[in-house]
Amino acid sequence: MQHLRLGWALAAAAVLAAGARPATAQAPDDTAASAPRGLYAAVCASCHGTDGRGNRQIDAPVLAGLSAAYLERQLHGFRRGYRGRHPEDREGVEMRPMVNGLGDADLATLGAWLAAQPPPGPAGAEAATDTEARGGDPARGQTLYAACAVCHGRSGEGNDALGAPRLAGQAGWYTARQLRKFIDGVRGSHPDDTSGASMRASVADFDPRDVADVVAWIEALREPGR
Amino acid sequence: MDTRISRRQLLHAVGAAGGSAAVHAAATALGLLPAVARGAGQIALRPAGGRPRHVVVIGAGIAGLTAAYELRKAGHRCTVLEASHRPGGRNLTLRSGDVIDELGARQTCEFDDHPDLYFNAGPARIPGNHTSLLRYCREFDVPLEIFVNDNRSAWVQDDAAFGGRPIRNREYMTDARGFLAELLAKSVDPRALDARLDADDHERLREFLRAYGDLDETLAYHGSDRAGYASGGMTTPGVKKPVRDFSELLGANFWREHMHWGELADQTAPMLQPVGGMDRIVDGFMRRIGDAVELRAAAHEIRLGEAGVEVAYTGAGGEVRAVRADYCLNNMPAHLVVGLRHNLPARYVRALSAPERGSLFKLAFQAKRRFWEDEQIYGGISWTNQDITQIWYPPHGIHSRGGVILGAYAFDDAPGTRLTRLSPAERIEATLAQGEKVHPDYRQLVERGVSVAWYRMNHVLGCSTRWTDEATRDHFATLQNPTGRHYMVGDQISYHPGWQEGAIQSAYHALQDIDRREREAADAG
Repeated sequence: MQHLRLGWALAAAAVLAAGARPATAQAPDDTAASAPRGLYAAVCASCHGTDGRGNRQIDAPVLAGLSAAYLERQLHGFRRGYRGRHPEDREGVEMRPMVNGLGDADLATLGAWLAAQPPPGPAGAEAATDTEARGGDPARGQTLYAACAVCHGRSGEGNDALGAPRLAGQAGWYTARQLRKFIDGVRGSHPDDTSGASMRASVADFDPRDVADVVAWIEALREPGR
Repeated sequence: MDTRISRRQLLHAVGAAGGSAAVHAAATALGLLPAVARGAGQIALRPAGGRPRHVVVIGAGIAGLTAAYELRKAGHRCTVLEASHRPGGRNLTLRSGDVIDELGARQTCEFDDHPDLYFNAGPARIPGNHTSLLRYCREFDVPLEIFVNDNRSAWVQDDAAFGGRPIRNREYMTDARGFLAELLAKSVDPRALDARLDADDHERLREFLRAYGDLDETLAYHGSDRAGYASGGMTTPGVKKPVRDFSELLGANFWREHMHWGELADQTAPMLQPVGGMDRIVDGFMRRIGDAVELRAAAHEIRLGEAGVEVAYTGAGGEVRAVRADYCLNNMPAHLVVGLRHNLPARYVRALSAPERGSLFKLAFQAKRRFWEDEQIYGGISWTNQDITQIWYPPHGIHSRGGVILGAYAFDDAPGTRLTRLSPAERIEATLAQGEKVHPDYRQLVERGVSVAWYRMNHVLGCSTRWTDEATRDHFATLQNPTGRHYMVGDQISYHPGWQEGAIQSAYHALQDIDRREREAADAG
């Protein structure tokens, strides 16, 4: 990947001598990826983070590792206005203008690049800051999740054929918030949002406890050994 | 006979006993060497000498610029990476043609091009006790002029009082104090007070309340000419204004906080502003260290190492570059640091995530004429309970043709959030509609509105930092201390968020620690 590979065994003198320089330590694939990476960096990275791993502080969800098809469809949704139009969808309203000025090719480029990024691991710092799911009962959540698994997969891996995004690795606060938006009709009630409409129907009878419990289970899906 | 030993004799004796480090400490104490901290508002780093360090500063906000300037002055090398197209961070002054880089809602400032026509969208006033900032103004030859904050001639408007019509600040203050004083003077029971109050004290207390509230000899309040006359007062006798209904005064929100604004240590008259705009201070820094500042350089990775810190960033041309330095001073908003690729410790990341980002909102208009001067208002602030919260009148350009009027300054989260969520055009409409309750012809008198919603500003995304008591207790010290050779700086890492002085002092705090480490390393070597 494009992570810096630093040799900290370098002598102090060499450290001193180094100023701004081209990052020759970059992995070779970085050059090939520079165009989509640059687009992502210019438009998305402030909020969603360098690697698309989201930022709770900015209400920005994890994007890394979601499928290209799902990402592209949602980006089109924001541009066409079936996402981020509802007045109660505060974060969606903030997101919507970000795709203005982007063409179809840009949306495809962003979707493909983000899909290739690894989703956050189990010990990610983002997990450490995520307190949304605390208090949920993962065992009860697992039972509830059986219905979700039909589309989203037993391990929360998602299923493009059914329009179901990957859930494993997504931040719990975001999953919980989106569930509430589906339940309240803030998301999934626009006639053009067909997959959102089916999602909304699936969780219509969820109560707050159901949300907390199922999110607790989805959170656990990113733990090793599941 | 004089038995005092000379300074030189003393240092010699100290050196014999404790070596060079002891001499240095003693000499510093005697004022013979530059001390790390030299009293209020000053810092002087030990000269780098033969041991210059390279420091990477992320963010050219006031803290970042301060750090780079002081480090360079001491002989160190600095690289300042600024993600935005401009230096200064939230020290933002908007003039004709300037771009407002709000995410998804870029605006351009369409004021006429004139030196008086500017909008300080971030910090806009300097109290006299912010000594570090004022020292830089002096050092950089930034001319200052008086800024008017508190103005008793300005308006107080509240939808819940006086039929929603504005009344003069002085009228509200005078009547409120009159009522309060009368109430106290008539109800104070000396026996209920502390036993130390004797009969003389009690008499003085009554006189104090009489003076405070302008009561008559029967301790009654019948209005006061402090409220301004209803008519006359020059060539005919002054006629006092009718006294307002106390219940209505209580019905307005004004007494909860805004009535006492001028009592705040940071808001007390007189205040100051740089002539021509707050960013004259940024210009002063940039004239001295601008060559070290790289604009449109967005940091995306921070790697802590044993001997230093490496920062990777995307340069202006989209190229990925990296800087390796002995120290990193990070002036980015904490809430954006957590989105970077990094190897910061988990505890530190939790601390970065602890404070909330505020939703401070400002909107300014260009006025077609200085209509507020026709209302006897020269600078200062009108208050309203509506979301716009404040209207500011420019203290400069008095009696000139036009001016820039601040139509809204919402600093509490709820009104700030409501205004932020609107589109730029909707914000202007809301500000006009609310401002009309203070100035009836407002809509005809102002134009070219421009808004800065800091919650949505690119590379900032929040102002000012909200530290709850709990977050402060659990996390502030973590961020005020370094992790490895990485230091967070900025007003966010101070007990003065939202003030440039807080930013400067936080930079000093970090620099003092680096100075200490370098001194210890030099002594060890």
